[in-house]
Amino acid sequence: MSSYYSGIYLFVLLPLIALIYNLIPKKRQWFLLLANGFVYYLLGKLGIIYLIISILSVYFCALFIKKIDDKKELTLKNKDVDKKLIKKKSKTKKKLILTLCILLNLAFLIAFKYLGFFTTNINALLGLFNVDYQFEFVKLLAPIGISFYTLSALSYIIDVYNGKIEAEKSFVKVALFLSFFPQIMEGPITRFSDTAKELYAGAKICYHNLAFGYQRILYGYFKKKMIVDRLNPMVTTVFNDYSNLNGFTIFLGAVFYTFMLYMDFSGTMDIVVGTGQIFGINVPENFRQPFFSKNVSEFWTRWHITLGTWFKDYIYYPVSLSKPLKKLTKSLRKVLGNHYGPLVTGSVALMAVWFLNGLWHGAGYTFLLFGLFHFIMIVGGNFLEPLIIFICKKLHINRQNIVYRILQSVKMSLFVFYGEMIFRANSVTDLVGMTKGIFTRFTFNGTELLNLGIDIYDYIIIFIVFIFIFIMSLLKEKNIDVREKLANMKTWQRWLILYIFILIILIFGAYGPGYEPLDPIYADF
Amino acid sequence: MKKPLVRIILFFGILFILIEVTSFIFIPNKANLFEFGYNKKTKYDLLSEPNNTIDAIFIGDSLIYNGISPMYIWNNYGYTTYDCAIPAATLDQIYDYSEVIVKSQSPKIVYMEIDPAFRDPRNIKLIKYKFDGLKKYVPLLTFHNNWKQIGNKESVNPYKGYKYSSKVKGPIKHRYMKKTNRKKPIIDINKKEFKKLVKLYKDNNIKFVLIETPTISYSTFKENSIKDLAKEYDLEYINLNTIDLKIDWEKETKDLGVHMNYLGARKVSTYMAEDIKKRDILKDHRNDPKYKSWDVAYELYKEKLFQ
Repeated sequence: MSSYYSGIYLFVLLPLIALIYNLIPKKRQWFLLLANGFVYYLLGKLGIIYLIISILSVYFCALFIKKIDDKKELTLKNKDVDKKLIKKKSKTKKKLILTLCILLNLAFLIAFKYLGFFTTNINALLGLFNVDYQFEFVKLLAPIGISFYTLSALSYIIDVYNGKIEAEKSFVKVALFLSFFPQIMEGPITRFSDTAKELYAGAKICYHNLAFGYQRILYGYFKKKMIVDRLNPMVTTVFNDYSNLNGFTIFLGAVFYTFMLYMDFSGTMDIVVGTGQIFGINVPENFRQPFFSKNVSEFWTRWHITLGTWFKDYIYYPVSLSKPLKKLTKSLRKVLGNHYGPLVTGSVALMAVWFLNGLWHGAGYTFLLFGLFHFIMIVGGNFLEPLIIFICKKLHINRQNIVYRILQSVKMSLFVFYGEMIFRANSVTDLVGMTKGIFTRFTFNGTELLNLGIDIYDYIIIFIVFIFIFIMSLLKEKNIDVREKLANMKTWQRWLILYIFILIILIFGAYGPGYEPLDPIYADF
Repeated sequence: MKKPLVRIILFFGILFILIEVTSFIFIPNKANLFEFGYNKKTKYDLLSEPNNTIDAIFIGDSLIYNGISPMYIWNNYGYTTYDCAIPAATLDQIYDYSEVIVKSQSPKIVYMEIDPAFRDPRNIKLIKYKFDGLKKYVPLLTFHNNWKQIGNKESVNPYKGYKYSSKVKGPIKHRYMKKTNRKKPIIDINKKEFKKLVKLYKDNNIKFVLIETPTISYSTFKENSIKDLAKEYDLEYINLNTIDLKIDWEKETKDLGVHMNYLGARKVSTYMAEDIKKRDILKDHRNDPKYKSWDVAYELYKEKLFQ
């Protein structure tokens, strides 16, 4: 099974799993979900070994931490002991276990994702200093989803360490949480408290959940077949052959890539959330109409939400609340005032977040630049905010005005398009070339647009679908639940809408001769 | 439980009818629909072509539909060729397709990719390809892109069986055509099917040539057996893996060297077209008004090329 979009997965495996799930007793349903996760990994051959090691490590380390805590509590009941010393000793032990567990999990991630990148750079450095030695280049094929389940596993052990959750005694529950089959390839990065209970509890599949789940899956499929696979040839050509193209075409390529990425990732999330819904499991949402954001900072609270909150909880807060930074904030408050003082130290933590965010997406300078770009945009926005408020006040501009809001979203989108261009560029040299191309050759050439692997009919479909997605997003932003409205319609009306929707995908979808399905983009990260 | 089940069955039942009705609108060359029947018509896309217009056929599996571009051959040589290929094809499937070929077309030559001779039709792994075969019951899946040609007098097929791909993913290890004297056995079922195939083409006076298109998965282990088979039936055997086509395996293959991408396919197509030319049995139809639709098809095909 190469993708959640494959016919075998959606129309054979998923209904079959749902059917068996409904037939077996509620108490044993977890077994089917666990088995599915493991079978999925088995298809990725060796991938399952790393998953099992990850599960075992966090499970036992969490129990060990719990044991230390329990022992500490028991000892503290004795009045004759040095409580401070006991607490300190216990904390040191817990820290050691946590560190070992994190290092073990990160070791696999680094070995699979970054070894090649590091080797190339070390060799380049050695060459620079005329050292006559080169490390052998090793590139390992990373197991699917390693970046996603590693972060979920780390969140579990860190939460146990911090006392936010109790260490789970049931191995099955931990294993289920890390290997729930729809989440394997592209997340979302769930926390133990999000899904573990529901996954283990089991539930009969009801008609409502089945219908709602499949409707959501259908919407994801619509995004993939109408937009992603249609835009793929155009985007590929622009990023591979930008030197022969006009600035407008390069810019459009960057815009289309951003939407393609959004449709691909959010479409996959629709399938994951929809699958969860079928089994009565609430998988957390990863997107919340990101293009309605006011600025880049807000955009990242609406795009890949679970990654953003992971970095916020496990990198941003620990760094910004660390003793040295707290001390620095105190000193800076005196010098720069209450606004800029904490902002400077917050930026240090933010830099760590964006450095790791870039690195998480891949081993390459373009990814590091992608992180740096967003860091600059967010910090720049934070620092300029008081000035903008001041100017708007002086010029009597109402910042809640609809025109102002639209302009804010347009500005934000332009930054995001450029950010995604950095993300997709084949190399830093290419990025420089593309940027130059946009600013020095910005002319429109309609014929050129029709020689990029998509024809005029494809552009028409893209335009119509964009409008449709925009309307759907706008309704969602205004808290209008289209699916609930659909559910309240008469059966024939609901079915008619669904039939039209399905036929539109079947007739106008970008599949078959002349189209090539794009492998899910985020599955590579 | 009963009520929801009835609703689900009813929903999909109506959907299936709607899809079948819509499919009918998009099926090209409906004349063949009545001659060959619904199943064959939707299963074999060669039947979308007007009868007796294809001069050379490439038949086989994914190596054919990834490796040879009939439109490239048309543009450069003017020969009308077609890829009659099925994913992970087995020899019995190739025989069924061949029957359709001889009934609907009168090609002068048929080149058969020989890799399916080593495929066991009883193999469980092939089930996933059988699932693809279900597409014949939903013709809309095959012909839906004809919506772009609604309003045209005659709909044309711009790919002629070829599956265009621009993906680039070269092989990791080059264990390719390593010398060995061993021979990979061909199972009895396949031997029988092969015999039937040779007879079918012989009875219809069609030149039948065995080929192996370039793929990293080929070996002398297989080649040794095919040489014997070709000798037994007095057939020509062209192994493109032993001919230097100057293929850049890193850039001109799409899935670790198993299949060609468009760049690789151009080189394989050129070689095959040159082979046809050498035989001097086919005409260049580029200036023939009867084949005007091939020019139209080429224009549509060209729009999809982006490398």
